[in-house]
Amino acid sequence: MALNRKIAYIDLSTGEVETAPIPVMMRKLYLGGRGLDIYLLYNHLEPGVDPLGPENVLLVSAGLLAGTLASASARSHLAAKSPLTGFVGSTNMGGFFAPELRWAGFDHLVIKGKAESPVYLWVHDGEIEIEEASHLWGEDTFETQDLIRQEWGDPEVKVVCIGLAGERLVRFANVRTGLKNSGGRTGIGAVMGSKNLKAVAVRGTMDIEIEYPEEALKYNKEIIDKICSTKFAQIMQRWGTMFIYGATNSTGLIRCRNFQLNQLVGGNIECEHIDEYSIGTEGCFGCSIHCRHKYIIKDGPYAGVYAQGPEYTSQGAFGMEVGCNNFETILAGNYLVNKYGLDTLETGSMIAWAMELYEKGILTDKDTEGLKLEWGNDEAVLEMVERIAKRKGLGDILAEGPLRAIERIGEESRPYCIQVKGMSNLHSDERPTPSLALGIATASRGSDHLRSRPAIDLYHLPEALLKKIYGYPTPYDGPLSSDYTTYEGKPRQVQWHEMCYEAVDCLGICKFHTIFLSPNLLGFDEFSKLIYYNTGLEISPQEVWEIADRAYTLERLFNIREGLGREDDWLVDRYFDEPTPLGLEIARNKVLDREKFKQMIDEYYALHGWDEKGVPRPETLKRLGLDKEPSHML
Amino acid sequence: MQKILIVDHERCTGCRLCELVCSVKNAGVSNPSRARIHIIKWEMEGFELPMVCPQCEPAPCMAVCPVDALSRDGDLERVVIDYDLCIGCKLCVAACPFGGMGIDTVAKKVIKCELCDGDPTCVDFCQPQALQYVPAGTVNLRKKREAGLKFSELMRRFAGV
Amino acid sequence: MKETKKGKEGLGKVRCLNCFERFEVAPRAEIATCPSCGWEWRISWPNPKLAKIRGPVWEAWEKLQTRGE
Ligand code: SF4
Ligand SMILES: [Zn+2]
Repeated sequence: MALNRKIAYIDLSTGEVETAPIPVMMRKLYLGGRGLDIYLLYNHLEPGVDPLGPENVLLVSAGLLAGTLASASARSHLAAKSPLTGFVGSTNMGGFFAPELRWAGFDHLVIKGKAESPVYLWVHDGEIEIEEASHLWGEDTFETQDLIRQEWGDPEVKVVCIGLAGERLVRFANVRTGLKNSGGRTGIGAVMGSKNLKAVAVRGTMDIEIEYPEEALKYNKEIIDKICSTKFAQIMQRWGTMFIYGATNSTGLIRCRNFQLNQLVGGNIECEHIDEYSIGTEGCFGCSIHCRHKYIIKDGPYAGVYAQGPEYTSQGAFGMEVGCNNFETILAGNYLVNKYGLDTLETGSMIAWAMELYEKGILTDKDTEGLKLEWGNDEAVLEMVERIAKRKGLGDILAEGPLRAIERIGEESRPYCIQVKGMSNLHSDERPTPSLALGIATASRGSDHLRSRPAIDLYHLPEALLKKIYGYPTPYDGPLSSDYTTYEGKPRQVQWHEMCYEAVDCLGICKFHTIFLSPNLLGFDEFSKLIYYNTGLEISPQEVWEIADRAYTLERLFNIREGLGREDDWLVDRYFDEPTPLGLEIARNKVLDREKFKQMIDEYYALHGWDEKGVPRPETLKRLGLDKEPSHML
Repeated sequence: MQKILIVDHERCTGCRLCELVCSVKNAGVSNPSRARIHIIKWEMEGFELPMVCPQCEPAPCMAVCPVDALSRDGDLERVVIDYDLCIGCKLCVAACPFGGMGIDTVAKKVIKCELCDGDPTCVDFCQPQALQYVPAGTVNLRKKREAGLKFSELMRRFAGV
Repeated sequence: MKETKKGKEGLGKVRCLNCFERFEVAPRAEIATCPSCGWEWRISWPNPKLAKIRGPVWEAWEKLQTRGE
């Protein structure tokens, strides 16, 4: 059945490779993907180690349903201790790598130690070899993939690799596969770089058995029809996540000029502009939404460059946050970060922060070596990307990520750094939206919108519908409100989406097909059925929730073991002290209320069964079977 | 009327769902290497092309088969394999100019698209409609209509018609 | 072309971001005014039957905003 994929333990220091089956019992506890990854990380990593040292453990995995008939079953997950936050490092990406890894016979690679010189892993039909990669060191993330494919004479080889940024240990270096897909957050690329691991290449031709092929086909078709009939999917099919900007910038829910403004007035960087550059759209494996554009830059220093994307996040990074109102800058910035292997979000945020410091005189021309870091200076922004990737001058400081950069620039820079747990916030302004603010404050991997963002909170959905969604699969009869500016019921929404996205990441399907941006998409019932038809495992919607709860709580335990406390689930003062200056009335003149925010966190902890310090209570651990962790079953 | 499977590569998003559903439908497993349709990609150029047996007439595979295991099924206008006769010599694989005749390495037999007995699964799942199964006589008119739409769009944009 | 025969089906509906009322937009319109609150929106069309808000009409936006102050 679809479950007979293996786990491989690879020691780069000794060159030893061992493989083992994954017992069904572990599937029932953690499914796969992000769930099993956190289990493995918790069990194989010694607390307190240097994330960039050989003791860190890197996980490369595919979700339980990757490669099966579960709409967009394309997602891979990577994990390690994060060099950016020091807490759980975790990142998820689409493309074609995860199914290929499974066709090659593996679900999880546990990579330890450090190679003496650059290497890459060659995983193919049940075999794993460690290959020399000195000739690839220094190559960008596009070339690297191509060179490996040429080496094996097989254009079907799928590669996850790092670029220059990962090699230079930029703490927010990402990992990349294909032209577009990036495992961006938490600096997993730097972990690969620290291990001298340039890439993981896979090629497989082994069957993934589908337990009930006919039913799975029928059900998958049903789901695709359902997804494609939603308005949301139709917009995504045309313009990808960039469509979000239309509504959020109109309302005043974006960040502009490093959090000084909440709207790009006169903004001219909407998704519609991509039509001028696009030569079509592309999908991840098995996906009917195909949200990424293939584009060719027309003018400027990058004229003629072919790339894919960009996403909402790059609009923020190279648009509103740095005060640029030029679509081509976004296209060029997106290309550059992808080429060098940098997290687009973190890169944009670090540059925007430096720009505000420059404006305030905390950074001077001397620090920037004459580069005018002024709002809207497109050239300076793109030049800073290069400097970060190459760790040149100020770029070397910014490459260290928010917290270490504050230490080097000085305390006076701290208030302007918009981060949680040492990771920069998405380029959206959460001051008018307590639910979204709670989500980023509490997310396990640091400030993050893909851990728990209840984006549908922005839609003013009727209360009856909210009750239906959030009262299932575990009961909830507390308050819920259609008004996104209130604090009522928001902790439940955050918890619910946390569980939903955790389940999704364990299964290896795409969040955009689930209740993320539309209430009419897949939820726990559908997850349960997909698991059954594809793998034969009978796991009820309630059990899916419980698995998600277990995995999420284990992430919490991991973070606590690394020193996390309640104070880390908090936002910077600007959220509470500086009111939003722009936007529609609903979003203007808004700050978060400290007291109410504190109460939300209390309520959120209580929903999870955590005490007021955010530590899971003994009875919670018992209920989830976590009281004996680390249990070393794998 | 006789129907044919047509490929419009401009619409293809390269998702490979067709490969997946083809292998599940025909082999009961997920394994594109056992599928009868494949998406050939030039990743660095952003070009993807679905490749599948075009059911040639006359068909080179039929011509070279030494034991007449390949025959034309008149109703569906397709080439089918009779596995009772097939001796596995793979001459057809060599003769096919498109790679439409393939080898299933697990089942150890030659495979080709047989149009799912008149209801191609890939077409059913291809959301952007890069794959279509349409009456042969309407193909040219459909193409003309599509081209006409593009043309009228351009006229509107540039001539204000 | 299609909408000549089917007329009404070509109409898209959008939800005003200011007052959250749904309103109809004329086919292929690039600008629409919310009948309940008067905000002017730029409109785009992901497909011929689906309208979405592209952004505010910035000139009108600045006027309205200062009035609201
Ligand atoms: S299903 Fe359609 S869009 Fe997807 S790869 Fe196949 S032909 Fe292309
Ligand atoms: Zn209105």
